[in-house]
Amino acid sequence: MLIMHKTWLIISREYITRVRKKSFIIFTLLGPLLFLGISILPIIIATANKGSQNILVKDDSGLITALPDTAGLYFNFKYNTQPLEELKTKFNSLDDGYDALLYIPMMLPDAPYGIEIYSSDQMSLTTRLYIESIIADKLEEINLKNQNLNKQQILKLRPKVTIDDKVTSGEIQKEGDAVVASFFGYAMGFIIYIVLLIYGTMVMRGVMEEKTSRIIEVIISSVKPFQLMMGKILGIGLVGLTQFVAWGFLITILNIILGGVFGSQLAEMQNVSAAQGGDADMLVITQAYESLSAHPIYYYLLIFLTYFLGGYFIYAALFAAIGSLAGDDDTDVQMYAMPVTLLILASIFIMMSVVQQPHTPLAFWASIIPFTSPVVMPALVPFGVPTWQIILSIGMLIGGFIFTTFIASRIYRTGILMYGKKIKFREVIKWMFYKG
Amino acid sequence: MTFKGINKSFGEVQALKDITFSIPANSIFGLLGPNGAGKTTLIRIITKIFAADSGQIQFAGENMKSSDYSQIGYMPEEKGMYKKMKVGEHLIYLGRLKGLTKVKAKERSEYWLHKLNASDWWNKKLEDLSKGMQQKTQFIATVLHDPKLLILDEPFSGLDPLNAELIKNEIYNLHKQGVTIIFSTHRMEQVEEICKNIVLINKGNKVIDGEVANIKNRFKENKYKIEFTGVPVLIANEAFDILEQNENSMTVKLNGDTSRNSLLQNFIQQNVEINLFQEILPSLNEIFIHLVNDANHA
Repeated sequence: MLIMHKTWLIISREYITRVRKKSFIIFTLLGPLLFLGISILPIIIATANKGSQNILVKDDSGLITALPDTAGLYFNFKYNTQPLEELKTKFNSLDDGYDALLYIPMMLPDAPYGIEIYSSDQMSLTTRLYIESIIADKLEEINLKNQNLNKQQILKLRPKVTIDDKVTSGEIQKEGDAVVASFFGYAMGFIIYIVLLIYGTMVMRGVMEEKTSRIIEVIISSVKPFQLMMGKILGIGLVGLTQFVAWGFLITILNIILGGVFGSQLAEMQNVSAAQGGDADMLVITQAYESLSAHPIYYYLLIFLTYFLGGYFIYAALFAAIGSLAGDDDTDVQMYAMPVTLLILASIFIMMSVVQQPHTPLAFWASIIPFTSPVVMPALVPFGVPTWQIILSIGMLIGGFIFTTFIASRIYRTGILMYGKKIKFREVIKWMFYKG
Repeated sequence: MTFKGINKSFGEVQALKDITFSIPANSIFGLLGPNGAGKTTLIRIITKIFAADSGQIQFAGENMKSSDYSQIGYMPEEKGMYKKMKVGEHLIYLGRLKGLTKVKAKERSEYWLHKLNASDWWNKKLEDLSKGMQQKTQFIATVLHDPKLLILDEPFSGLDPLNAELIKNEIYNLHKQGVTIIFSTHRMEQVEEICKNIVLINKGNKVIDGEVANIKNRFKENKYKIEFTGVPVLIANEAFDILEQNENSMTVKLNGDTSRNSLLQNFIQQNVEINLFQEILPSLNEIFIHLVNDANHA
C-alpha cells in the first residue's frame, strides 16, 4: 500500500508541475488553433483577398451575353455600346464604380484571342483564372452546338474508370479504399512518432534534471529507484494523454464554430475548383468522404491509444535509462540517445513505405517488433490487419515493455548515482547484472 | 546501531573493506575521513540506496527492518532540490514521501520554517533562494518526519557562521530529544567539539573508532603547555624535551615515567610563577595523519 502511495505521490508531482507550466497551457490551447489555422488559412486568404467585385463587361464579339455571378464577382453588360476608350477612363466612376473592365473583342468562338481586363489595382490570379474558366465554359457551349454535339456525348467518349478494391484475405471483408486508408495510416503513425519523440525526451530531461540537481539522493532515500522511474514515466504519460484529450475537445469545438462561419465560403471554394475543371478531383474527395464513414473510427482510436501507450512506455523507459547516464553537461546524453532516436526515425520511414505497400513481409515484421510496431501498426490497421496479427503484436508490445522497463530500471538505479567519470558502454552492460 | 563486516565493491574498486563499528544510541557520531574514503558509500548503504555485498547492519540489536528506514533522515552533501517548486510544496512533497499525511507535512513544515526564521518563504520558488536559504530548507526537509536517526553529510559547507550556528543548535536540540545523529565530514576539527564518538575511515578501511576522548588519550604524547611569569632556566634532559620556548610560555614533552609534578618543581624552585599548565592532546587531524602514515609504512 505504502509503495503504491509513494508512486502515486511521484506521479502526481510529475503531472501537476508539468500541467501547471505556462508552456504546457499555451501549447495545449494554441495547438488546435495552429492546426486549424493552417487548414483554413487558404480560405481566409482567399476571402480576404476577394471581397466582392463589380466587373463591367464590354463584349464586341456578341458571343458572351451573360456571365454567372458567383464567388463575389458581379458582371454587368450595361454600357456595351459605348466605345472602349471612353469606358477605360471612366469605369471607375460609372454607377457605384466598377472594380474592373473586361473587354472581349471581335473573335471566333474557337479562337478567343485579345480578351483584356482593366483594373486600377492588380487583379488576383484566382479571379483571373475564374473569369477565364467561365468564358471558356461559354465558348465550349457554343462550339459544341456548332458541331451538333452535347456535353454528355463528349463525356461518353472518355468514361471515368474506377476500380472497386475488395479485400478478401483475412476475416475482414470491407470496401478497400487506399486514399482514406493512407490518410488514416499516415495521420496515426505520424502522431505516435511525434509523441514518442516529444514525451520520450521529456522523460529523459526529467531524469537528467533530478540527477544533475542531485535531488535524486534525497528522493532515493525515501523511495526505490524503480518507483521513481515508473512514477515519472506514468506522470508524463498522463500529461501526454491530457494534452490529447484537450486537443480533441478543442478541435471539436473549433470545428463547430468555424464550420458555421466558414461553411458557406468552403462550399463556394469547392464550386470554384469544380468550375476550374477539377471534376475528377472532386469525385475522389466525395468518394473518400463517403467511405470515411465506412471506416471504424472508434476501433482505430482504440488501436491508436493502445500503441500510443505501449510505444510510449517502451521508449520512455529507454529514455529514462539514457537520462540516468547524464554527466553534468548535455553532450554525452545526446550521443547516448542517438540509437534510440534512430530507432524511432526508422519506424517512421518504414511506416511511410508500408502505407504504399501494406501487405509485404517488411510490413508484417515491422508491425510485430515492438520497437517499430507503435508507429507502423496504427498506420497498417486501416488497410485491414487480421486479428491474430494484432493480438500477436500487442502481446509483443507488452512483452517489449516489460523487457525494456526491466533493463532500463537496472541501468537507471546505478546510473542516477554515478557522477564524475564518463560512463562506458561496457559498464552499463555490467550494471544490468548487479545485485539489487 | 552496529555495523559488522561491511563490504562493497564497484567493479574492481573495493569501496568498503570489512568495516565494523557501532554507534551508541542517542549519540552524536562522527563519520570521518578524507574525500573518497567511502563515507558516502557507507551512508548510502545505511539508507538502503545500495545493498552491501556482505555484512550486516543492526538497529537496536536486530537486523534493520524496512520500517526502520522511515526513521532515518538523510541530508546529502549535494543539496539538490526541484528548483522550480515552491518551498512549501517542496517540503510537503518530501514529507509525504517519508510517509507523513498532507496535513501533518504542512503543519511540520510551517513549524520548522517558523523556527528557522523563514516563515515568509512558503511561496518562494527554490531557485530564487540564496544558497544558505536553500540549505536551511534542505535541513527542514531532513528533519520534517521526526527521524530517530539523522544522517548529515557535510551539513555546514556553504553556510555562513550565523546560519551554521543556528543549525548546530537545532542539532543539539534534536540530540537532547533522543535523536541519534551521524555526522559525516572530512573536516575533522569541526567534529571534535560536537561528536562524542567517531569512526575514521580511509580508502575503504577503518582506521580507528571509539570515543573521541579515549582516542585522544591513546595517542597523547605527554605534551604540556606552560605559561608563566619570570625567567626559568630549564635544560632539556632525559626526563623531558623542550619543543618550543617563547618569552612567557613553552611546550614540553615528558619522557618515560617523568611525572608532571617533577617538571613543575623546576619552576617552583626557581620561583617562576605558573599561570597555566595544560596537557596538549593531539587533534583528530594529527591522529589521522599519524595513523595513515603508519599504515602506509607498514
